[in-house]
Amino acid sequence: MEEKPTDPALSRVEDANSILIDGPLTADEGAVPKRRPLWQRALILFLKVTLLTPLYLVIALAAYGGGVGWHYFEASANIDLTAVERLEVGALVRDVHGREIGRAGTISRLLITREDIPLHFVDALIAAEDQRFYLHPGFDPVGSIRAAWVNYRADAIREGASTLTQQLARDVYKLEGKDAERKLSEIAAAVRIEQRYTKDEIFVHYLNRIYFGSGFYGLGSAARGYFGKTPQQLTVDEAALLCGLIPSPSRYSPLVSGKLALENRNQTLHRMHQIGKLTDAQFASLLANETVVVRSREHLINRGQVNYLLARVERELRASLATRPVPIKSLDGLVVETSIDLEMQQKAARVIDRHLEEIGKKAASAGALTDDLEAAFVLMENRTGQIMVSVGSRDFHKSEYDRAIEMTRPPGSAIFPFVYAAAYEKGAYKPDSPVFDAPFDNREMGLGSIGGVLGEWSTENPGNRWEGRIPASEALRFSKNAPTARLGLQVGLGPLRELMVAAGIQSALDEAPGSILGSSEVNLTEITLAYTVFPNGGTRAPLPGMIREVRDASGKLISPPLELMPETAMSASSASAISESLTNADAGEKNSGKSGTTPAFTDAWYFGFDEDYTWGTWIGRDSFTPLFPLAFAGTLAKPLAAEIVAERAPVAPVVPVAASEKP
Amino acid sequence: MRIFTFFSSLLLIAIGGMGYYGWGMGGEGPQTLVSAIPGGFGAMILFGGIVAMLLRRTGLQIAFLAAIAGAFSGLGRLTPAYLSDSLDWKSQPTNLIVAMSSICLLYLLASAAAPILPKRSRKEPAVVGSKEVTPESTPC
Repeated sequence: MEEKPTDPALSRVEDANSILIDGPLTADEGAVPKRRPLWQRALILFLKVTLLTPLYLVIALAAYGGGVGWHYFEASANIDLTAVERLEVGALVRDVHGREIGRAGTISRLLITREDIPLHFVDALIAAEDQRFYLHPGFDPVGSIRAAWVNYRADAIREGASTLTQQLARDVYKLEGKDAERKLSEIAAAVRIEQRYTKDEIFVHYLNRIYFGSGFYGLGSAARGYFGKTPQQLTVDEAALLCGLIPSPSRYSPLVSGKLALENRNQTLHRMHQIGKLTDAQFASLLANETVVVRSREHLINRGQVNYLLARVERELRASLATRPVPIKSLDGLVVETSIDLEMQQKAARVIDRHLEEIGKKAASAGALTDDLEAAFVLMENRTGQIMVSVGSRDFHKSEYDRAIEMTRPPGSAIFPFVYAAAYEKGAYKPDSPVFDAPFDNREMGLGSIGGVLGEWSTENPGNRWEGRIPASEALRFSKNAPTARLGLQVGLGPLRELMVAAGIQSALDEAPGSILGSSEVNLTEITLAYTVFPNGGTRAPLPGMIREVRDASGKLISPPLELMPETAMSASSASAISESLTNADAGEKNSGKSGTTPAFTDAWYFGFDEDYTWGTWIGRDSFTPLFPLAFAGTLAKPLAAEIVAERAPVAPVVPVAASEKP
Repeated sequence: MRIFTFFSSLLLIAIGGMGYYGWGMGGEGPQTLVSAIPGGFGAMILFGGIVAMLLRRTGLQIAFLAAIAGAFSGLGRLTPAYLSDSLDWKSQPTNLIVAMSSICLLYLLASAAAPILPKRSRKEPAVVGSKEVTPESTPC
């Protein structure tokens, strides 16, 4: 009988025959086996390398990924899951007559319950956004792989990989951006949400939060806004249209692009058909149907203005609250009284839309573009600078760009009153001082002439005549370019800049002679504010705003009281002289004003004022292309403004906040 | 190797226990099963060790795979915090995860080295009593 080696050293010798990861042989496992033939050993080695190495790699990678997920899952342990069901109520915003405009700092929603959601809407949403919604734990690896494969095959983003729960998490916790860290945080939060809420609850919270474009947040608002219906009344094609626009609501909104909305509706119907929620006959019939949305222009404009005002008030409110010793971050429960006249605001937007329609026709007949015409309008109180009307775009649903405060454009000859005021203030000129109206070398101003002889440009005066020596007040009244250029160059940019800053214009004046003739860009609201110095006898109103007062939920005043601290920009005599020159000679008008047209007819302005209000209008295109040849502001912006302000009411006296109420 | 397998697995189980009862209850984080993950890897390696008592290669293979998973998941757990400069080396969770990864990596190294070290010894004949023993002279 053979003896088995018992010595440890001997067993180590046997270990020499073991292979990687096999571990050492023990003494009792017998003697050294016979060496296998070379081909067998090579085959075993080959199998091990080809089978085990990938297995190790896959496990290592999967474990590493799991570890990363572990990190994010733990990091999400402290998130507030009740935030999912907590929708901000925002601040109640009222207009100057106490009428409710809406809620700022949140979204005006029509909340729904599970019972309000028709089954075909559930089918459409599942088909469009998350076909494995009822199967996955918050994130869907299978769906992600499928989406990646579909997108790879299409060489474009056709399907998103985010589940409904991930989208909800993104919305609740504001997880914006596309980096991997945001995505992993979103997945971790989604898993936590799934652990806390049922699928039905997630569905309802999702539909109450999600954006459907054109200012409609939540299914209730979207159904009402687009179709004038409750969610239960939605038809299958309407449900498909709403679900189809979720990936990019601002672009796919039927109010923005009917074509894209229809394409996405059909895509959703196609997916519903694919997953068996529609029969062939239903699918074919629905594809042939047209989905009709409510398109009342007046309704849309009015609604757009409400959304615009709420966004604007929120911005102003947050900026104001952030500067408090103890900043207030949540707007919930606040009550905000504004100076806005909602009815007049909506009327202004409708008038703008109608005038731009007419201007579009003129442009078309002159061979210019008819689309992308835009306008803005501001009406403010002279004493307080409080804004009563502020329209930032023709249609807020199509463009949320606020041209009343965000856009700067050259004001053209609308700057002239400040040039003359600077001259009067400097003492170099008086209203009756003679100025010389004769050809002037355009190169000194650096402005382009409009197809005329070099040395004359007369964008404001189509039938310009050289008048020779005329009083300064007359040169301003008739918006004479050449005398204004001469006078401005003599006064210099420094005094003009000082006066404009004192009048409230914060945009910097360019160091170029052309600034005298309005080539330096300003925004509509600041120059409207600057015009308040003329009716205010040389002092300008405080910085413009919409908010009169803010109270918290208990009714306690938390905003600073309205303080009238006008700033003197010029002497009363200069202001009076300018006002005199700008008085409208038209019969029946009791106001003053100045139009402004820029070279190339890209911008048309009009600023007017009476004893209570000052207003400003701008018409142009975002692309800086001309409105149309000979588009003078006096014939475009002035009548538009006149129609808006025709029904303005006299300003009520400003009642100071009681001292006891001061915050 | 099997002793080392048992030793490593018990260490990991202990770390898992500390994670679950230690940092969870110590206020550093919620007491969830997630904090006991090191114990889970320890249990898998322990299972491999038990299997190895009957089927040596299969058992050690299981333990080896569990160690790969433990080592790399720990690295994955630490990497995002490290990259975002939020890794707190003094916190208990970090220490426990570093310990878990280290033990698993050590186990992997030992498993890989085990068959190599004896090969060296084959070239340096072991001494049995007063007689040199070589693989060729080992009694069959």
